Amino acid sequence: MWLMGAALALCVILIVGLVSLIAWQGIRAFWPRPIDLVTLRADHVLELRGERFFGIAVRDEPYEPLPRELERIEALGNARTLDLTAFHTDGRPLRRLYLVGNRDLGQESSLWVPLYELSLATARPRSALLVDRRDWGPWLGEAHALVLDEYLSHDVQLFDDPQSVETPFGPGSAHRFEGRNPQGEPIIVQRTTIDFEPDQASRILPPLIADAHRRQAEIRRIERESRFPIDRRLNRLDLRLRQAELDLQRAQNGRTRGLALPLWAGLLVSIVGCAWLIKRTLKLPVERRRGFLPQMTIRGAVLLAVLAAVVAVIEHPWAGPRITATSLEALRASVEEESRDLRMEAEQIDRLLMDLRHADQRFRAVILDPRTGAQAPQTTSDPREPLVLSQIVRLAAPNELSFAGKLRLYASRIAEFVAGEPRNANQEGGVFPVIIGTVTLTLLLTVAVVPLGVIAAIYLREYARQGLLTSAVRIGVNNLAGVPSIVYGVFGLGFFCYTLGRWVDAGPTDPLPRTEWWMLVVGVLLVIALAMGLGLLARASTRSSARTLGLFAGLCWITAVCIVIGIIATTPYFHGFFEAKAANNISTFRARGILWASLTLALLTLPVVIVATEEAIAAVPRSLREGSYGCGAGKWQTIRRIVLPGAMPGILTGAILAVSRGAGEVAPLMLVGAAKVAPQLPISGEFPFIHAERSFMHLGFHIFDLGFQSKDPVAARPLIWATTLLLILIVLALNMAAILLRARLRTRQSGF
Amino acid sequence: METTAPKPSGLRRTLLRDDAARPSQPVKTLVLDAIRAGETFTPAVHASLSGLDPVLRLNDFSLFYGPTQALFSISMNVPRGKVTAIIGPSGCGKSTLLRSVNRLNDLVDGVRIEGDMLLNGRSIYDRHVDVIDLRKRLGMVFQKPNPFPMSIFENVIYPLRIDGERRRRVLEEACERALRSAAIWDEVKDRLNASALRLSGGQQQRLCIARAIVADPEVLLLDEPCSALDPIATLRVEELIHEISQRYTVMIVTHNMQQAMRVSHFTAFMYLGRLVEYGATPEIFQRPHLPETEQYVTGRFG
Ligand SMILES: Nc1ncnc2c1ncn2[C@@H]1O[C@H](COP(=O)(O)OP(=O)(O)OP(=O)(O)O)[C@@H](O)[C@H]1O
Ligand SMILES: [Mg+2]
Repeated sequence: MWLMGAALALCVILIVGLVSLIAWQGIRAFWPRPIDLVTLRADHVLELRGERFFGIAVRDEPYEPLPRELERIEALGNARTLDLTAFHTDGRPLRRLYLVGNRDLGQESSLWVPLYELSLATARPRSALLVDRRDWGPWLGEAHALVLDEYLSHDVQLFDDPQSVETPFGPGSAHRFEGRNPQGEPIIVQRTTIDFEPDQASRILPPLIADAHRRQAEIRRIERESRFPIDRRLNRLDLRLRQAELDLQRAQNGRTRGLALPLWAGLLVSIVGCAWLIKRTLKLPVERRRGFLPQMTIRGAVLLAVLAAVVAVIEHPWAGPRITATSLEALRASVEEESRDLRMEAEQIDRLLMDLRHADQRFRAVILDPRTGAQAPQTTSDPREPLVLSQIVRLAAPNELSFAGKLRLYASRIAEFVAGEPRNANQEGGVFPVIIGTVTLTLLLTVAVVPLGVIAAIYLREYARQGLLTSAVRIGVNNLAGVPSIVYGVFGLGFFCYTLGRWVDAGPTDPLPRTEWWMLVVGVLLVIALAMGLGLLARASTRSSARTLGLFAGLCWITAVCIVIGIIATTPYFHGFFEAKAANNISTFRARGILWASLTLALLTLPVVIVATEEAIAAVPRSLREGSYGCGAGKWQTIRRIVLPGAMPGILTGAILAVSRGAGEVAPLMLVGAAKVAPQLPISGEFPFIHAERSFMHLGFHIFDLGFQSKDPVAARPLIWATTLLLILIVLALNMAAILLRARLRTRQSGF
Repeated sequence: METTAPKPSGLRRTLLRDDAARPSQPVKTLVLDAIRAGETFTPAVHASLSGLDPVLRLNDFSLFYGPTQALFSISMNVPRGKVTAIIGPSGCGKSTLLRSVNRLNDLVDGVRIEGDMLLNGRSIYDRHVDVIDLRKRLGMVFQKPNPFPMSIFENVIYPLRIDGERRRRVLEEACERALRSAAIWDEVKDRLNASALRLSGGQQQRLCIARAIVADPEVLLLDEPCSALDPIATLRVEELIHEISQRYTVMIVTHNMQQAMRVSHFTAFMYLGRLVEYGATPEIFQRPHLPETEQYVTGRFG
């Protein structure tokens, strides 16, 4: 008894501990921490070139010193300059992890420093800046000057010596050098350097940085609104031409054309209608069959006419637009003309964008690393060009911030985290696309798995004859729940991405010849008729033969389904939704994408939904069903009005469990669609709104990526905690929503 | 479904009343012994039943729950426009009989029937009978109240809803009429939109009665409708039965002899799945042909 209590307590402690650790670390991750000016002993033995550097203390820990270090400690002790606080209570020396940033200087972005090597005079200068940059991670340093460039025509004089000039930001010294504009023409650049005191930086720079951000936003707006649409239109034109070429090729080779959607619909309707007619006729009592015959003949005739019309349209080339060599030439000419215009427009915009970017580089800042005296460079390849202001995402002087200032910085970091794009190889910045990807995936998963699971469960429990077949299916479904999720990933990749995706993109790999395909269609109708006949016979006959007949009917149905799959997989009338793209070797659905990922997860979580739904359905009291049947309700009416509403809370429980499991799953996603960096969001305001073929980012995968694939785990750590917290919060929010819904349903069930 | 020919009556043990009229003696009844021994016998069906127009006719109807037989070749006519009570000790197959009339037993796995049952001269168990349509013509009230987890209003009009009736006015009128007939209108008229599960057991049962009569069935099947009711509600239901028996045929299962006497025109006594005696209610209760029946109705066994 007490053992059980202890086990429960242990579980609770573990869970609460884990959650509160994540919550604490996640909340703390973005809190600004002070920058130390770390001063080492003058004779320190570390492999550092200087002895003063900026660092943000992350944590202290005791460690086992090397023999060499023991000697050093002894020497320091003899000289009576050893700081006792540099040692753990057990006598081991402490070391401190410093985040030092400035990776462009070729150093690690974090550093272990033994505390005994620290000089006692470690300061926190107010001028120390933490510069979050777009690339290359943080830079710790002091700002010394503002740099303003001016682009002059190439025939002005160069200065021999720097000249002092007045600028709106104060007096500065200017020099001139030769440069080139984006068009490659020579220009003279007049560079004015305005020095200021380092502790003035957080007053002078932020407004200029805000301006730079505005310029960047403008550039991005132009790209988004003017430049990218042109690319898309060019792409569409290209594909239209390619499609026409393919059509022509096909016409010349005497192969069938792809069918338009209405034709497919007609085909489907007539096939389903025929099957239904067969069923009706078979089900009719013998004495009424004769009376029904005229009606049946009329309907059959109509259906046959539809079928004949469809076949005629399919098989006879006189319907629908036909492409000829001359019309292709005309199309090519018009496409070329149109794309020439577009390309010219694009060039113009490109030029404008380049000019804007060039102009943006006129504003720079000199921010120096205290150890090496190097400035933060624009690019690592050319350390002489100082950092451009628009490269700075955020500039903070944490040492001089008041509490309110720290709070503001904290808020701005969190805002960037939740609503911003990732930067610096995902290690910094935001996770907005990741959130969107996760939520979209979860929604798609829900939409796929819940109806499928519920329908399957209803069929299994209410319609299927309880026998060998249903138990086999049930056992199979239950076992599916135990398959490792990575196996689903492999299956998803192999089946969804490569097989189904290929079919969607480019149609069947080797389509059957027409006559054989039509024979298959007729064949499947026959098999379906046979299955129905056997089923009806089974219902009418005695116990012993009923079982075998039912088994045969089931086998017929399975065969029919297999043939239908075969029909779909080998139709000569379908060449893919993205035929032209596929012909250009660009895959659309034949790739890892959010649709396939959510379907894979749906498969993974299907057993949970099925089992929960079956149980919920079975739990609806028999007396209620009988009451409903007694009122003259049919099976479907009873299910819809009595069974499903009664089972709804249980179904929702299953859905919650399934979706929570799916939302937290990572392994299969690595195979079927989650990407380290997805170029586009899976949802947008443009036409299909949900772009099912796009790859996406996922919080679980993101955590894995940051934690284990990142080059700089120390720098990425705050983001890992924050992302984990976010994932937990999102799953929690989804669960809460569902649980609230369920609670409301429950109260409605049991009186309102 | 095979219809077996009526079994040859092997041993005829229909005894005359005088022969076995030993009321004070411990139960020693030849008929019931015969039934317990599984022997065939011919039930005592009174002559007063012949000549009446039967709405329901059972021809050697037997029913099996899997291997166990629950009804043993029952033959009886249920006269049109009358109240027929079915009495008998617990587990003798009264509910089963009632449930076979609207084919609710079809829903139980492994049920098999033999013989036939005709409603208005047409077989109920024919392969091509539309069961749904059949059940719509029969209203059923179950032994335990089974209101649906919906509002009172929705409960009552459920049979109309599934018939596709959507006109609000029609539904409201039908609802009120049925609730009034079931003597519950005054209690629920202010809270028609409240959940039916909030009603007391007796109210729930009357609600179920309202639900059973809302669609004007031809035959009303009542399975111990008053087992959950207090005497006043019972009285109301009995009045209701009396009232609707002018319009419908009613079959009622009851354990309450007084009730059977009060409401029914004809009474059938069943034992262990067999029909024992069937006749006009006054005769069954006052001058039964079989001493066993008398013993049962006077409460000396069962
Ligand atoms: N679904 C079922 N499966 C198997 N046997 C059943 C089933 N329903 C009833 N029986 C059996 O059939 C017999 C008759 O049952 P039934 O419910 O008709 O009795 P009853 O006369 O209505 O009894 P009571 O007065 O207690 O309601 C009983 O022996 C019972 O055990
Ligand atoms: Mg009963």
